[in-house]
Amino acid sequence: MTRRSTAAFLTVGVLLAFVPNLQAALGFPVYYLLFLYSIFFWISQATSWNILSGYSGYFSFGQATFFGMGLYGTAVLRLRYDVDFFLTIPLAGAMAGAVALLIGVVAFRLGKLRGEVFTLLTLISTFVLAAVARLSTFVDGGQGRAVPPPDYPAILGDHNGMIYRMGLVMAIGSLMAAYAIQHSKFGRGLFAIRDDEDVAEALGTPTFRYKMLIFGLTGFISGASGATHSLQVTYITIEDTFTFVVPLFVILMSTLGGRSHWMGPVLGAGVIYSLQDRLAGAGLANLSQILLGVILALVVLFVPEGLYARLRQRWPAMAVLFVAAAAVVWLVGAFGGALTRLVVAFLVSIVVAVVPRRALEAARLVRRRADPPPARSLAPDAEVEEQVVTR
Amino acid sequence: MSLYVQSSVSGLLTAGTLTLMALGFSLLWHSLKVVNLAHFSLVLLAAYVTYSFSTATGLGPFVALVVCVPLFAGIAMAVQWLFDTFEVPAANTLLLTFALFIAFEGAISNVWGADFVRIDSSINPYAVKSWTVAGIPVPVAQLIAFLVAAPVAAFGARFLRRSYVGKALRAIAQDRDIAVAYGVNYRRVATLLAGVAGATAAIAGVLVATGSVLFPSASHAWIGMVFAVTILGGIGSPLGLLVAAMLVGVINGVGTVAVGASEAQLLTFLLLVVVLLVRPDGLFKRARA
Repeated sequence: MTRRSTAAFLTVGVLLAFVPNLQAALGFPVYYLLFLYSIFFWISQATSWNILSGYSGYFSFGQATFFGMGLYGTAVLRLRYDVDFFLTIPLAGAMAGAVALLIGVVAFRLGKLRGEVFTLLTLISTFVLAAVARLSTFVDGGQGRAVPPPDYPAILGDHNGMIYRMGLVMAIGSLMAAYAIQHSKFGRGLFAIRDDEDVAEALGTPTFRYKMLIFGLTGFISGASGATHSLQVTYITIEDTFTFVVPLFVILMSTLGGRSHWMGPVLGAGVIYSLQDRLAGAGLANLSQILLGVILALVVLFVPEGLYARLRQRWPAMAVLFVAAAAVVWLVGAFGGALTRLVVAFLVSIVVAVVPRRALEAARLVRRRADPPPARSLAPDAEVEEQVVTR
Repeated sequence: MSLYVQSSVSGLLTAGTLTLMALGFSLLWHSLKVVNLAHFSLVLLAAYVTYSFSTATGLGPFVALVVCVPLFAGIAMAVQWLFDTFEVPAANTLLLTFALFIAFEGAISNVWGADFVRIDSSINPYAVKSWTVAGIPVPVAQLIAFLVAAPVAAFGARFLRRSYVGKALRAIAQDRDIAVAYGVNYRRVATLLAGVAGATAAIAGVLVATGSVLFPSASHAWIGMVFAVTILGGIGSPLGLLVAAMLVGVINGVGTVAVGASEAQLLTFLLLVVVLLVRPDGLFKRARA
């Protein structure tokens, strides 16, 4: 991580930290702060998934395991041992990281089928933890746990401002980690594992150590972000914690945004959370599970390299369309609130990115390319032919 | 003591449904390298279709086989067609089946609701009936499931060993490119296998509807069990699957009496982890050279 990029991340973070102050001045609804918090939360979660699964190609369906470890970790530490809230964030993260390492030891040692076994193990780890939490009255016992709001330094602002800023800190932190990994030897090792693990091993990448390291980090970030999320949830239940919604969201966000770049999950989190939030706002929450599942399937089939790669090629068209759509929506006066209008305009502009290149070529909108597209710019190239399966 | 004998017998018989659920999953994984989470949704969906069919027509649940088997064979073949036509890379099939799994679950809870349902006992007398053999009660629904699954597994094993398609599947499992170079029509064989997997999922679904209550997240508990059974039995081995399912069934049955139902499931996972650490090729397979 260079000094310049560190400074860039920190500047963006500091600037965003003043948004709650603007809220009082500009008078926009408090709801917007919580909406932004949720996007920050999902950016952390999706990034934590992506540094493992996007970079190294090992798909984890166990995001709820680590998220839940974080939530219940902070609840147990605070309620049973009276630990300070801010101390529970790294502690709960470490607990989630430890669970990840346990799963990793079992799955990563296997010679063949490690990708599939890893995926299934992460999937059932969520059920196992849910069962343990249900059995243990020390943890939950099936009743749920109320987590009272903690004392916090006054510099974080009022309650909503504090939640917003904590989410911001977690998001910037995880993005800096993802950026640093992507631009390091470690990151290149992970990409090598994704492309061909056996070759990577033969060429001297310490594959087992790298996989354990990154999976532990995945657990840590997800757990720490989960612990922070207890500020917003306040009442923790097993059903809402160890749920498939968490892995579905992070997988969909990362895949939609693009799995081989740290910006992918950011983009995906923005799109998917806004969509989900507006669906819930329109009273279609019960259909959202079907819809998000179908979107994931369509993305895997039609945009496997993710939106970010498309965005880099087509951002002018998208920007124009976004402004045009926003103007139309405001002029017509459709879709109620400002937030919904922005989301609608954004979704319209996304359509440009989703259209396959072949269709654009057929419509003569872009010049036909003679040779196969050069592996352009996206640091580790957006190869579609990643392979987890080792025979 | 008799409680333990009784629970091992009923545990042993649950192996029937478990084997049928795992059969398609295991073979798809072995031959096509597809870890098909949507397989569990198909089983559950078949169970719900059976429920609706029996409730609507008043016929016994087994009549629903006539509808379910072709329907779900068709759905499974359509999914396989999707994989092959879009040439989805192996890694992305995982995401795709996960997406289908989620979408199916959402669809089920939207159509049938989140509450428990079961086929009325006037139509489905098997669920509550049990025969007493030598003083041990034998639940009829589970017995039927076992009597269906055991021959299917035996036939599956023989089919894989002897028939042309079976040999082609094993060749594809070893090396797809080489198998194709030697004249195996990959897409036809894969579609056929997917169809058979869908059909077994349908049979499993009918048996599930016959023997137990249904709810939208019922499939979650199956994933762990089927995964355990698949690994223990050795991936792609129907008979290994049957034996492993019986083992897991007995452990579950005895464990439920000894320590409680949820704890017994944790016991199964512990067994799975130990096997993954010590004998990742399954309990019965000799390690390949």
